[in-house]
Formats: sequence, C-alpha cells, structure tokens
Amino acid sequence: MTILNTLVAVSLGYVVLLFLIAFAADRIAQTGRGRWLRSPVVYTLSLSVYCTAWTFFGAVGYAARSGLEYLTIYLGPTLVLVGWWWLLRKLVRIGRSQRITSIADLISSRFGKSNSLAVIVTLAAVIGTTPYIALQLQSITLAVSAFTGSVVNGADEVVNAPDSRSVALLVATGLSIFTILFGTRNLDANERHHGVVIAIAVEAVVKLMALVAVGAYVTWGLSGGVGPMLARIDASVIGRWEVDPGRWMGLTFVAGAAFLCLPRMFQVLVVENSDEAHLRTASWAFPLYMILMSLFVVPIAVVGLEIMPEGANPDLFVVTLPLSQGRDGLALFSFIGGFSAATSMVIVAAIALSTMVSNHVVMPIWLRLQGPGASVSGDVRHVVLVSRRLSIAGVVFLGYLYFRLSGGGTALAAIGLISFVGVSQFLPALVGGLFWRGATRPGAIAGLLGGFGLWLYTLLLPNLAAQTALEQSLLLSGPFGIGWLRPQALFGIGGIDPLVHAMIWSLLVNVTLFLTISLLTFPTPLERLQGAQFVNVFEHSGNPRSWSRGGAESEDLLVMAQRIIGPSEAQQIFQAEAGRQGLSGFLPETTPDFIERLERELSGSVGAATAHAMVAQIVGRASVSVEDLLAVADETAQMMEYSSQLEAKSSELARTARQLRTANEKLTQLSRQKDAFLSQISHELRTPMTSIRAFSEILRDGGLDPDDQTRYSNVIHGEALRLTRLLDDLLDLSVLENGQVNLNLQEGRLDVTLDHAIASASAASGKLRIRRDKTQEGITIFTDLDRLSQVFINLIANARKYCDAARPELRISVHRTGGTLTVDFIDNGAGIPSDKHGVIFEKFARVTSDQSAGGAGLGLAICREIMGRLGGSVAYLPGQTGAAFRVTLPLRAGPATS
Amino acid sequence: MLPPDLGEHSSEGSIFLERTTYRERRLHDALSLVPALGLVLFSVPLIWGGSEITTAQAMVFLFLSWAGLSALCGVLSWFLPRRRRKEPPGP
Repeated sequence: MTILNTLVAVSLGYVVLLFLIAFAADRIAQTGRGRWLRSPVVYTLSLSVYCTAWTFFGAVGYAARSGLEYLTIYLGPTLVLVGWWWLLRKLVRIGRSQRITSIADLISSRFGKSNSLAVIVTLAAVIGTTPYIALQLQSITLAVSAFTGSVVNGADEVVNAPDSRSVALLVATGLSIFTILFGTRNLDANERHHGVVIAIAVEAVVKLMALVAVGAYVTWGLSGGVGPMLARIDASVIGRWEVDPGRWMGLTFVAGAAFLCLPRMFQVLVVENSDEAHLRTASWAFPLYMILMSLFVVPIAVVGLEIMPEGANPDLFVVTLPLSQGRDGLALFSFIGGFSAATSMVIVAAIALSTMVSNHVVMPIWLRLQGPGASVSGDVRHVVLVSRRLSIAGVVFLGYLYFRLSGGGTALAAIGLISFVGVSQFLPALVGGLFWRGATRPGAIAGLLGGFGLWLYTLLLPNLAAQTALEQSLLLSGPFGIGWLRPQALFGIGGIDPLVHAMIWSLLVNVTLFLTISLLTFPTPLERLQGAQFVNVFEHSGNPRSWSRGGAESEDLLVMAQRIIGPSEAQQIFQAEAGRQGLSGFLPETTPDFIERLERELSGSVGAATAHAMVAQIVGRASVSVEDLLAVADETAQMMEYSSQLEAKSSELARTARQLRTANEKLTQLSRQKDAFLSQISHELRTPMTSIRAFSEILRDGGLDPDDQTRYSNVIHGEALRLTRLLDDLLDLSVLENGQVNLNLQEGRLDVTLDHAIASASAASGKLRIRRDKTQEGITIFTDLDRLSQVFINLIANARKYCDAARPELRISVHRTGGTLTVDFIDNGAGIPSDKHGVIFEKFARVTSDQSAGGAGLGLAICREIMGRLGGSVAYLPGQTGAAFRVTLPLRAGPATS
Repeated sequence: MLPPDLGEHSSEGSIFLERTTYRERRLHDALSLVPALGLVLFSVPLIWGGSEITTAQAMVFLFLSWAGLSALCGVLSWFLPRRRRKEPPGP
C-alpha cells in the first residue's frame, strides 16, 4: 500500500500547492497589482477546463474503441473559436455590457429577464452536468484503483472494490471544500474569481505537460520515433479509417454547441473574461492547445492496445501503460495530470452551477418568502453566499450520486457525450436570441422544454436504466408496449446510433418549437428592448429605459446595494453617481439611468432577474407598469413627446410675452393718460383762475363805475362757479371711481325722471327741440333716480351744446326688453367721428377744441361711472342720424352693485 | 487601370484612411470565412468512406489542416487593428 500512500501524499501536496497559488493570486488581485492575472495567456489556459478527465483518460479509451472519432470533440470547439469574430465576440460583448453571470442569466436576460426561463435553464444545466461530474469522480477513482493494483482489467470490478466509493466520496468532499473556499471567498460576490482562474491555468499546464510526457514516452521511448509510430498505428486494430459520417458531423456539431453552452465553459469564456481582446489570442491559441492535447492520444491508444493485456480498460492506458513499463514516476505525473483535469472541471462547473442555482432558484424563493421589503431588511449578501456554498456542495453531491447510481461502468466518453447533447439544447435559444429579434420567451421555453424532455427520454433514461429490467422492456418494446415510442427508435426509425438519434430528435424538436412558437407569439415590451440590445449590441450601446423616474428612495437603494455588493463598493457607486449629478454626499437622484446602472451592478452579484425583482421591490413599480411605460417610451415616441413639450413650452412663452407686451402698452398708455390728466386739470383750473385774478385786480385798483364793477364781479362770480362745478365734478368722479358712492335706491317713474332732467338741462335755452314718445315712458324703475337723472341731464346738455344742426332736435326713445331698459338719446347733428368713439368716455376728452362750451370733458366719464354703479351702461350708438347715446339699465338695480 | 483610390501607389491623406477601413472590412470578412473553411476541411474525411485511407494518413491530414486553420486565424487576428480596445460602455 505504499504506492497508495505516495499517491495520497502527492495529491494532497498538489492540492495544497493549488491552494497556495489561488490564495496568492487572490491577494495580488486585491492589492490591484495583478494585471498579469488577466492576461490573454491566462484566459486561454482557463478555457482548458474544456479538456477534462474525459480528454485525459477518456480520449485514449475512445480512440482505442472508435479510432479518430474522438477528434470531433475538439474540432467542434475549434470551429467555434476560429469563428470568434462571428459569435464569441458578440457573446462576450453582451456578457460584459449586461453583466451576465451565467448562461441561465444570459438567456433569461435576453427574453425579458424572465425568471421562469432562468429556472428551466438552471435545472437543465444541473441535470445535464451531473453525469459529467460523475465522469470526473469515476475517472479519478479508476486511476486510483489502477495504482492500488486491486483491479486493472475492467471497470465493473473496480466499482465492487471496497474503497472505490470512499475514494469518490473523499474526492467529492475535497473538491467541494476547495470550490467553496475559493469560489465563494469574495464577499463582494463579484463573479470574477482570480484565484480559481489562476489555479485552473496552472492545472491546464500540468495536464498538458503530463499528457505530452506520456505521449512522448510512448512515441520515442516505446516506438522509436514518429515514422515507426505512424507505421505502428497503421498496423494496429484501428489502422483502417472507419468513421460513421453521421456521428462525425453530429459530434462535431454537438461539441461546438457544448463548448458554448456548458455552464463551466460559459463561465470561463464569458463571465471570467476581463477583456474582449483576449478572444483574439484565445481564438488561435486554444485550438493549438487542443491539438497538443489530442496529438498523442492515438499513439498511446495503439501502443496500449498492443502491450496491455486483453481486457484492460483503455480509459486507463495513460496511467497503466507507464506503470506496466515500471515508469512509476511518469505514471504518477500522469495521474496528477488527470487529477488536474478532473478537479478543474468540477471546480468551475460547481461555481457556475451554484451561481445559477443561487441566483435563479434560491434567491427568488427567498425573496418571495421574505415578502415585500426584504431587500432592505435582510442580509442578502449572507444569503447569497450561504446559498452558493450549499449549491456547490449539492451539485458535487449530485454528481457523486449519479456515479453511485449509474454503477460507474460506462465508458467515460459515452457519459460525456450524454452531457454534451443535454446542454446543446440551450443553443437554439442562445444563438437565436443573439441574432434574431423575433425570438420570444414562449418560443425559448417551448424549445428548451421540448428538446430537453426528449433528451431525458431518449438518452439519459436509457443510460440510467442500463442493465435493468426496465431498460430491456423500454428499449425493446417501448413504454406500455407502444412500439413507436421506443426511446432509441422514435416513430419506428431505428437502426441509427442512439446518440445521433437522440441528438437529431431533440434538437429538431427544440428548433422547430422555438421558431414556430416565436413566430406565433408576441414579445413583451421589456423583451423587445432586451432583444434589440442583444442583437444590436455593437450598434447601440445606450441603455434601455426601464425605470420610470421618481418612486425609488435613494436611501433604501443604498441600504439594499450595501447588503448585496458590500458597503464600500455600494457607497462608491452612489457617491460617484451623486458626483456625476453634481450633488455632494451619497444619495443621488434616482434617475432611471442610475437605477438601470445600479440594477446591472447588482445583477453581477445575484443575476439579472433577481436584481430586477429586488430593485422593483424598492422602486415600487410593478413590472406591469414598467412594461406599460416601456411600451410608451419607445425612443421615437419619447423624442416626439419631448419635442411637443418643447413646442408647448415655447408657445406658452410666446403667449406670456404677448400678455406682457399688452400689459406694458397699457401701462405706458396709463402713464400718458395720467400726464395728460394732470396737464388738463391744471389747464382747466388755471383758465378760470386767470380771469378771477385779472378781474379781482381791476376791482382792487378801484376807479371803476358801478356798471363795470357789477360786470366784473359777475365775471368773477361766474368763473368761481365754473371752478366749483369743475371741482365738484372731479370730486364726484373720484368718489365714483373709488366705489365710495352710496346709492340712494328708490322706486320711481322713468317719465318723471326724464321730465326733471329735460327741465334742468334746457333751462338755459329752449332752442333744442325734444321729441319723446310718452306712451313708452310709463315705466316704474327701482334705482338711484337722482344719479340717473344726472346722466340724462348730461346727455341732453351735450346735445344742446354740441348739436350743430340748423334746427337741433333730440329724440329720446325708450325700449324695454325683459328686465332691461334702454333709453336712446339721438340728435340730428353731425355726430361724433368714428375715431373718437373710443375716447369720448375718457376724462377730459372733448371732441371739439372749442372751450366755449364750458365743459371740462368730465361729463361722459361721470356718466359711465354712474351707469356702471347702477348695473347698466352708457355707450355711443353708431350709425344713427347724429350723435346717439344708449343708456342701458336694469329695471331693478341690485342693492349693492358696487 | 485601377481607380486612383484602389491603386497600389496611391498617395496619403483621406484616400489612405479609406484604404485602411476597406482593408479592415475585408479582414473581418476573411475572419468570418475561417470557420467555413474549417468546416470544409473537417468534412473531407466524410468522402473517404470506401477508399484505402489509413488512420495515420487521416491523422496527418486532420492535424495539419487543424494547425493550418489555427495559424490562419492567428495571422488574421494579429492583423486586426488594435486601437479599438475600448471597454464596452458598461458600468
């Protein structure tokens, strides 16, 4: 058992070395000095997780059984890599710009951040990867058994050996611990794992060197060079070129698809990618790596078949061949190479799957259980990490379980191919989503479910049920005896290789469902936006508007972000955003832009769908309203709305400007009026004053005869009267204008009032003939009769004074309509020129410049004020025989019309 | 005769810029065609069905075309302009 002890010691030493390397890389990355940790070479080497124990052990076995067919597993990825410009570049760009955390996250993001889709992809990935992890455990167990020498011939007996299960369990436990330690070390939950990536790069070198060493030993040590080796190959049992074309093409395709869709490959290709430019190196360097990995497979297989005893497991030739030649050191190195290949695969696959499980299954359930407000109150980071750790352990344990159940007897390559076909089911949704905007969520779900269901039925089930009674009945006669449903001969089309059969049917159904349902359904607005972003990732880098402004509380968001990505990082993001908005402190405005960016930041930790849900909890906008908004906020519509807003604003401004201009004109006019009023009034006061002063001086000087004295005294008296009248009028007007007048409302008859007014106005001269229709005038009115009379007097006096007809005549006509009374005063003079109509009611406005009339031009102004007080009006009535004024008043004036 | 902007000895200036852009585009085309070439090369074994090809011969052909394909991709990628190493406008 010394060899076993050495084996354990070397393995442990190797693991400790990896620990140290990973630990050192993490430390260096933390200090920020680790740019070389992210070099193109490291990226290329990290892609080597593709070459697992299957490649290391299984490829030789594969070659020994089927010749060169094993090459398809590497030719497919080569085609994908050399076509990087076409597909990988886009994938990586999207992965980086959308902060994608896994393939489930990518597909869910593309189809409207749908969590149901993410759950389907996650479950499918877990189921599809489980056999693959089992494969790694099986290969390590086999290799160990090869050393212990318990069994060298045939895998079946190995499983029955007492220590094989405990070896597998031990390896599984060890790998879980390593993965948990380095895969979930980062408390900031950033998806890049420096330590793990460096450890994998080291393992990539170790496994390559180990395989090349064994190959070189076989070629030069055992066969004597390249020429003899080739001859030996041709002479061997696999010397004839025999390849099934269907398998050749199918496996190439499936391998290429799996290279993109395997969760661990997506992890290193897209998630761990730190620079798009690394692709250009990886595109040629990784094919070279794969060439080196597969170059010596056939020689080892050929020599193994020749030298090793009949019935030896060809999967173990890499180890047993050096052992049989007494090269224990080489065998040990080879074992370490295989150990590297197996562990790196399990580690990365566990990280990738645990991310998916925790982001898309555990977190949504946890969020739902916590109810609203969970994002603010709970310690999300803790939950994320715990769920990831449990997921890692769970995923590895599932692999172990599969290993136990499947009996561990299947050839390694066969197990791996089952996984490949399973994960290839992601391809239609992935590539379709990347290049076709018409792809919809229902289409993707239908395709995935259909394809994956068929895979389960036609490939996984027969494999799991191998060597049982169920298998026999199912495979030979179909379920319940329905012949055309036989898993390996659907619709009676048998005779095809089971793998190709399963691949063709599952992918055919997958693609058909995906396309048909996509064509028939209509995507949601969020889906359409995401689709446009994914398909046109190179054209527009703008972010979609998915959050309406406002609702979110900046502080709540900060609290939540701190719990997910760590306090310092969250504060940094918030502070930077506040700075960008020109604010100080940590709380920026919650603009849609910012929420979008924050959501993407968070999705780097917990996945797009969960981040979206968590932000939605705080922002408080149900997804429906977001989608409603999105429907409206199509970019064009936004622009149009904005421009129409601008238009409305500008027309509003124009309106305001017009109003301002009018107001300004009015003010200027008022100012002019005031000036005119002052000059008028001083003029009006001055004229009589001048006469009074002049005549009073004459009287004071004396020496006048009594007649003159009387005459001058009369002049003075007349002018004084005129002054008094003027001042009375002014006072009257000011009282009226200020609304201080007290109306003396009483009942009276209109004709009486008119009689009184005519008597007063015509007292001085009887020259003006007045025509009235007394029958119309017998109306009782309730108003301030004195004031009304004052208006009438004024109008009659005006007619008397200004009517220029040879035989002046004033017609007074009264009409009554409803509760309104109109009294027209129409003379037969020349009337008032139309350009003066607007001003006659203004103070001091006079139509003629004739001063002799003796008025100060206040009469009509007073009339207008009075009528206003009485609830009526006085207006000039154009188009009559002469000057015409219409007085309108209510039959009953209100008690307080002021 | 070639139009001036496609001539081998065209002068510098704006024409030069157009030329680089044109070359770059054709480089992208060539890169996109590499997987198609690979598909053709890797499909060749399918027509060997009945012929007397040995595994060693097949190996030589496949590994040589494989290496050649990688080399071609490497050369084309090498000539891609490196100036646009701008990070995507993510957060």
